[in-house]
Amino acid sequence: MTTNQHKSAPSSPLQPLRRLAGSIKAQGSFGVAIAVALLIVGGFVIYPTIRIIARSLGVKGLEQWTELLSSGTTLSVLRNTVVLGVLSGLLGTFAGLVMALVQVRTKFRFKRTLHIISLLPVISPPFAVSMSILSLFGRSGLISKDLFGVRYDISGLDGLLLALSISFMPVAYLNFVGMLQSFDGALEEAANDLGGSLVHRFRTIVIPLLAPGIANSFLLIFVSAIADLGNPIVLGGSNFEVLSTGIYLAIVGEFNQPKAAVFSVMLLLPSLLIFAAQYFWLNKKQYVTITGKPVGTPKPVEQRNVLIPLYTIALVITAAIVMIYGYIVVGAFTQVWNIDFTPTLENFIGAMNGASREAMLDTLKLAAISTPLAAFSGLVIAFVITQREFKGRGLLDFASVLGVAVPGIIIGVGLLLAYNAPLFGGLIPKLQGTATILVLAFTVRALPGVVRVAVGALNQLSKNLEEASISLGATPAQTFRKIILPLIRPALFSSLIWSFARSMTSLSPIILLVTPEWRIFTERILNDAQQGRYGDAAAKSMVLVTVILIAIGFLSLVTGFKVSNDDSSFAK
Amino acid sequence: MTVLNRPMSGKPADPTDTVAVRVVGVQKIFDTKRGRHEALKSIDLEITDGEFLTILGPSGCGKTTLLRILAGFETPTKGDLLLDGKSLTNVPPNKRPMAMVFQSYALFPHMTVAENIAYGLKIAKISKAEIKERTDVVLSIMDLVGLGDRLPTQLSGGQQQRVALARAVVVRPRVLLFDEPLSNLDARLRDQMRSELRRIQRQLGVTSVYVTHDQSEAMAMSDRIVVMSEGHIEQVGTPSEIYRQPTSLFVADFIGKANVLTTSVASQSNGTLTLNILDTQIQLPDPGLSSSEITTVLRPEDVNVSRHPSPNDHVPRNESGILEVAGWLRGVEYLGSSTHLTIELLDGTLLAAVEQHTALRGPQDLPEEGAGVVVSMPIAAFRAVSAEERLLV
Repeated sequence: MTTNQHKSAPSSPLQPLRRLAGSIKAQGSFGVAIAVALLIVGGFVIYPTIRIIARSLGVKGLEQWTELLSSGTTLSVLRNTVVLGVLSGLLGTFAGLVMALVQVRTKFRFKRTLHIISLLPVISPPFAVSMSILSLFGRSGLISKDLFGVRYDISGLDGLLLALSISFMPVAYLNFVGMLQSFDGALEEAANDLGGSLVHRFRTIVIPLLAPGIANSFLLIFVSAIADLGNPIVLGGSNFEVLSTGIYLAIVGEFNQPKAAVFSVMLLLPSLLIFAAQYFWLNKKQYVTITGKPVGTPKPVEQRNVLIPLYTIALVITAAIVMIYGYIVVGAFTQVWNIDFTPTLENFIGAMNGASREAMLDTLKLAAISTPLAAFSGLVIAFVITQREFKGRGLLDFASVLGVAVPGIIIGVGLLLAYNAPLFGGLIPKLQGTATILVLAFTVRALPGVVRVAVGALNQLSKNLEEASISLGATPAQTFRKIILPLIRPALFSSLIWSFARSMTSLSPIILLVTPEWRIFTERILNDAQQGRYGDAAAKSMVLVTVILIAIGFLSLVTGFKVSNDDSSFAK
Repeated sequence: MTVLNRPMSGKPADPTDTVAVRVVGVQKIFDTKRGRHEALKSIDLEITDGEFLTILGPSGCGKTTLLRILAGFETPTKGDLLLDGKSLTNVPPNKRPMAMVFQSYALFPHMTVAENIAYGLKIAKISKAEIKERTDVVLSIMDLVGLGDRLPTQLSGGQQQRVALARAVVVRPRVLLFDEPLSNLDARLRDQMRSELRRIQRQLGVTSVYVTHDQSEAMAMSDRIVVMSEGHIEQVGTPSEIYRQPTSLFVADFIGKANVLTTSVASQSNGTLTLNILDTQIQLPDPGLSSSEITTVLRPEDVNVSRHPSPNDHVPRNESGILEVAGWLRGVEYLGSSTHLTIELLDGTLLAAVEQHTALRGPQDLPEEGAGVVVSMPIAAFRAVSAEERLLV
């Protein structure tokens, strides 16, 4: 019973669109939801990206291509970006693997503390780490100059590597913890019975099984690292420019949109390539499936020749994290960070008053709108992707997670280019400079994470549950409300937290969109950092983290959910 | 009993009964990445009011697809479904007066047993008092009294199974659909649930369609069995018809054990087939098959084995309705209530036989492995069937 037997208008360009519309209509009440989802993804991820590409291929764009590609500066920017991405990816993946191994495969006594420390970077604002690193190891750093008296300046590649590996290490860590925990111990035991040594076992069984995780972590960190903006602004110094700072400066400093577009395309290409590779290749790989049947958990490692190096590396990583974050606290509570250590609350008083207070309230308002919006649309998209068959489903799936691959700064540039003038003869007004576009930027940024979390939860629901409900007379909408929604409430809660934290801490997608009327808190922090007021910036960072934690507590009170120990839903 | 939708009626299928569901030329094509897959090839079927109909077949034969089409979870590519004479084509699954019992039970994990059972009634906006009454009745029929406040995870597999059934029957469906509901239970519980399910279905008299790949389940429970293979119906009939009068080699082979004996047709006239078999000839009633594709099947329990000192001297005989052939006993498997024997006939044909045991006649009365034997088979037990695999359309 094909419902959409259109008149076969031969090769009408509208044919696919009409077929899509027909298939949406056939979905009944879900059609609306699907349409909204498609609209959000299409209008605020795909369309802006296309505008950037179009801009870079315009007359001025093409001029920029020839100019930029023939200049040594651009080539060094490209090289810096790639080197930074690759090295951060390797370091971050390695650090995450070590921390996960200690967490899962040893009898280390303070695992819980270690776990929290490993996850600390998740909720920190994007460049607090950089400021702390600069204060510790910079030209006049506490450790580099005062302690060792060396004239060493960490800014540039060294500092960025440290900052980015630590910032993105949790991605790898959570990934590996999940994988290591779901290992079938029987496999390893079998190898042991067959006489394999620990190292041999690790090489022939553990590593091959972890290979997809290693590749995944590396790629994710690579993409995040080359897209990062806050850290390079603070730590890059004058001689280490990367693509993201190039884009930022082109718009903010040079008002050169074609140049920003060309840089954006350069940044977009590797991100998209890696994303596509992951989406089409890595996702197809067979992962360890959780059957629910207890499998033998692997025995903890006890050999000293393995434990000593493992613990040493983990200790160094932990020490670095504790020192860097601890020093932010020190900076927040002292007169002049690194110079005058007189305790003071002035920084906090400043952070909670005046422009800073307004920025916090503005950010909270915007996040209060974008959070439910992202959570709701993300849930709908996830539901549609997992439970429904319709034409365009694959496209929606692809596009909704595409947001992960598109760097934040590019989303900013795209929204700027796409909505700096009224569209469709004024049907869509000029959005640039409005709160709407900030909310949209937040929403689009948080969406992929929500979709991932919700897809994970929904995939665990058997389709039979939905069918059982329908077979008992419930409509699809009733089924969604009475069966599916209650069962994915934990996921809903995670999505809300995720999208809220993401909105509150994001910088790169909105830095180009802020206006004097709507101030964003992270942008205030960056402003302080750029002007050398590190104490203020540190205090604001702490205020931000505190606000997020309070909000999470409030949310869990309202929804009746605890933040689970299994934070894997926050990965990626 | 107010919960029952029809009076007791454990009646067998009877052509004069009213037809509840009519499946007319239903075809289902799935578009897969590897191309079109025709899961159902023009299925015609009538489901009689109140009967327990089982759709039986190996995995991939289309039986589940057919059931899901009945439920409305899949739409047929071609064809129509009629429920009490009315087309179901444009009736969405939630509006069909059918309820499905799933292989995974699909109990709602966030609801108690009572809430699970009341779910369909609440959706139908039935009064609280009536919901309570109907839920209580069904709890007692299903032997679930006192478990109403438990969560599904706190129940045993058999109890979960009964909740799933209770949840389906309480809405008084016109047709109950079962999708291999017993396959998740262990063997002992499965046998127990099998008879319980049948008892409840008889008690309620609700038309039931039951999908399974387990032939003993089908034999034990059904009024009628539909045997399916590769998207088409091989045979429809009562369990004994399916077992005793299979129309194809597939059915004979899929239901129970069958000895397949190669035959050639000597003559075919006036409804009688004369077949060359094991160096002799037998005559069978002609089931109306074309002559080129005929083989004969014989159930192992129809093969009688007795000792013979010198099988090589024995000449095949066909006397007074019994065919006698000699051979060697090659395998003996004692299973307690019976023994399975394998005989190699003089021409090399392998034959399976089953000897039932009683206290008076045990395995000691059977020839030992390697002994010379003569097997006697009643001609009436032979069945001529179509030997060709059905041509794929």
